[in-house]
Amino acid sequence: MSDDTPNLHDILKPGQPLPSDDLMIATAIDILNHSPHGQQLTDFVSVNQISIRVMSTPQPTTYLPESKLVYVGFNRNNPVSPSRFVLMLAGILREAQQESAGIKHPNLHAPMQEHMKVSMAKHEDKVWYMCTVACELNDQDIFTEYKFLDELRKMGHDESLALYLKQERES
Amino acid sequence: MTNGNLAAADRVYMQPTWTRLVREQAHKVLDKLSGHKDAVVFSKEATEVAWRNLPFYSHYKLYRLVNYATMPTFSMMYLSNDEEFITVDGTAGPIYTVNEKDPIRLNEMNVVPYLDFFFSNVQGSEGDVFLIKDPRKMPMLDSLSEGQQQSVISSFKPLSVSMDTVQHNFKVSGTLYYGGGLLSSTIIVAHDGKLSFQDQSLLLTGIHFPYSPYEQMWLEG
Repeated sequence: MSDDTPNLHDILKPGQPLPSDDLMIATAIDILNHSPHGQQLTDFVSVNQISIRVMSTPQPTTYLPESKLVYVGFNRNNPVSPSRFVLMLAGILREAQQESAGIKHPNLHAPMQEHMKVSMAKHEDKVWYMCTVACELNDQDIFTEYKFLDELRKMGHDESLALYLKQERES
Repeated sequence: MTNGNLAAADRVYMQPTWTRLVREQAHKVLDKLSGHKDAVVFSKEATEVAWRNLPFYSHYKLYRLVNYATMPTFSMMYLSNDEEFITVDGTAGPIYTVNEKDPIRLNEMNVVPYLDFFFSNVQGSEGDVFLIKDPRKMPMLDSLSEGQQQSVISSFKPLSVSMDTVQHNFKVSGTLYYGGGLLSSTIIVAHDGKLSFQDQSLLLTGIHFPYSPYEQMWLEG
């Protein structure tokens, strides 16, 4: 087996050594503070006493079960990069901000049309916000190695980012 | 083990057997879970709780909690004997723990379903592992170019299962998708459900799927 061959023994490791949850969250908040839009989110966290927790999940995910509680989840065998963690946190905090502003998901029994309309609008707003934060951080020399834009593309937002950059150039 | 037996073994696990709990039973599960200090929060109003049997355990079942009030929906899996709930967190630890608590019973019919269950819930540093039984039925095969699809099909080594009666383990040889490539390997499954890999060799590289192969198939059914 060559060095380039993916090694199946990886999956049997008991999770990768990682910083503590508190340190990961504090570092992400610190990084967000370097972006004007990220700072809005961190202000929102401190003013509204939003609780941020890290959970272990098979796939990377975020979750907002209550308006003042957000989760960022990832697999301990395959941890997300610091830049992805920051962008995931920005996205779920933006969702919490939407909830706080009264922009909530429709009731479960609401018509499908309403679900589509509201959920799409919320999603668009969230992705636009993540693009803004990523670009603001990407423009700073100290975060060059974080490659925020590449990470956003890997998260599946390449088309949204291209549209966002086009709009920014035209404005 | 013949192809017919393998197909039967596949049905042991893959048939859609999720059983949805009625509201009162679901609330009991959520109450039990909320008693844990690190429990992930699920609302009683918007969460569906379902379970399915696993053919290699006597007492533990797989529970699926889905919160429909988020977009996309948020789900978590737990292994439980209805008293204790163990979070399926993407590492081997929770599965090995249950293998000890409810001693796993493996045989030629359920060892492949066990591997399917294991790989669908445990990732490596390169992402998902997928045991390929029929390359033509591989999830998202059509997302690859025509040439790559042909390479996958021609590189494929059929699955074979044998039992080592001396060592009391199973040897499952076949083709796996992992880390953007196809590998052939022999998976040793010990009597306690612990896995090890022998004779790994790279068959094909540059195979990248847009999503996890488990993202859809696992939640459906």
